[in-house]
Amino acid sequence: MNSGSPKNPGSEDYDQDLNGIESQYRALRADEPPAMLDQAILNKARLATESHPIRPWNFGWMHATATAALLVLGLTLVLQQRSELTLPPPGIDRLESLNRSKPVAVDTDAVLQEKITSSGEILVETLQIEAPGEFKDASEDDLAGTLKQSLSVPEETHGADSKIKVYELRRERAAETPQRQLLEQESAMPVTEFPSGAEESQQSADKRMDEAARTPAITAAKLTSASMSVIQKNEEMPAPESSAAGDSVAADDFSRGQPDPEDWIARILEMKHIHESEERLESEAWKLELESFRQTWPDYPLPDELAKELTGSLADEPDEAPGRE
Amino acid sequence: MKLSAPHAKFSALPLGVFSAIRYALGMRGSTDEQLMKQYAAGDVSAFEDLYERYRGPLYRYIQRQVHDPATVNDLYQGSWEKLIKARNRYKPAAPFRAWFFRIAHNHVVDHFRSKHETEALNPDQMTASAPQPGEALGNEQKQKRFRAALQDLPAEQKHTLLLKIEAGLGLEEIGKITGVKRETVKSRLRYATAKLKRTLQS
Repeated sequence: MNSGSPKNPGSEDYDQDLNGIESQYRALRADEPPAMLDQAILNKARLATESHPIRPWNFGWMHATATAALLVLGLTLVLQQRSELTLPPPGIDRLESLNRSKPVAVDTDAVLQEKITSSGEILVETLQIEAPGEFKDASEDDLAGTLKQSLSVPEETHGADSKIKVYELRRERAAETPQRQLLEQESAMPVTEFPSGAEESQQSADKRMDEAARTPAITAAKLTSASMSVIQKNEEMPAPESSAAGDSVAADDFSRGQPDPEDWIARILEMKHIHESEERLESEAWKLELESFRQTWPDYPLPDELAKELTGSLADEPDEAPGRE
Repeated sequence: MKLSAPHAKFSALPLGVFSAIRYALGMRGSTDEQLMKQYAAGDVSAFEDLYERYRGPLYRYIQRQVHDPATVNDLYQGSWEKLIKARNRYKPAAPFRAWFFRIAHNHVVDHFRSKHETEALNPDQMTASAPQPGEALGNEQKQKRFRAALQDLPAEQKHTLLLKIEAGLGLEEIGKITGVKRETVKSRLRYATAKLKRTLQS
């Protein structure tokens, strides 16, 4: 066996002696441990690996990661619940959104002309309607079908709700039109020819139209789904309670949520209270709503609070509705 | 001599052909360092292969230094237990053979220090193999004389010589195990070889 020593006579003798000793050592009997000792050591080795198995899920980083993930999840849930608790009730939210949408709707392409006839009936006409884009030539049924597909509305709830959806969709589409384009359309608006025998009513309608242009909030309250479609009605338009009101008027009622006079009055009161508390610019909207109610339900008893406001507003404007008695 | 554990593996061949193929191809070609790493990762079969490789050299390394068979068995088992406990601290960069014999050497040295065992091994107590008629007597006498001369060596020379012959370590590795320089290891080997040569020639 070479020990790596330098090659000199002394080292050669050492290497030869070491090789001889090694051969003598190898000639000794090769003793080995007893089999029982072998088995005991192997069992100990096996037990050591079984009692302390090395598994990847024993690592500390797994516990740390899981704990951090749980903390983040819990914190997110708590923050989400807090944000939900701070939201206003659904009813107030609906009114807020309605009020917010009214001025925008006024700035669209729809200009409303309201006409009160001698019999106390209301005529609502649209002078020009420019439905935007792909909905220009689409009917209400087509839009309702589109909405049904996109929103996955169940078939049984599709009837009346779809008309409301159509109205809201058209209003959103109209709100996308730029302000300048709306003004141009308004200036280029053709004069609607009314049927013969309606000149007197036409004058009063023009007067109301000018007033509506000055007070966009009031006009906004009168913006209905009927005004979003190109509808030319006759001069003698029946009252909403009449059976000849048509589907568009029914959709108008649905959109306003005033099929029942009691509900309508409650809504007017709610709008009044909210507007009084927040002092918004469009705070006159509830008055217009009240006037609409009175024109629809002339003999329906009003609460004192509303009756007082109604008489006061009528006294301020004695010449606004010459046809009314 | 085959161990019971590897025999048990081959006897279980019909139960797992793939394990036998893995044993034949994977383990047989693995180095000591790879086997130790696999055992540290929980592979008991790797330890069985390591044990088969080192059971004889370690047992003889201890037996040449301690005359009591029970003590030899205790030291032998204790050395393997220390390896089992230190399996997670083993770094494959170090040669397994040197690392393992260092554990055994320290274990034996600790035993000598605690017991103050300076008693030399009596050659008569050693069990001799069955001699053949005729020349068997001469071989037995030579072996007894050699064993006696080996036991008469100083402890440092005996440790160094056994690490060189039995464990097959180099001078550098022996120096690291025993804590001396390479030249000191060479000097000890020279003295041990000369003494054994004189004893055998006389």
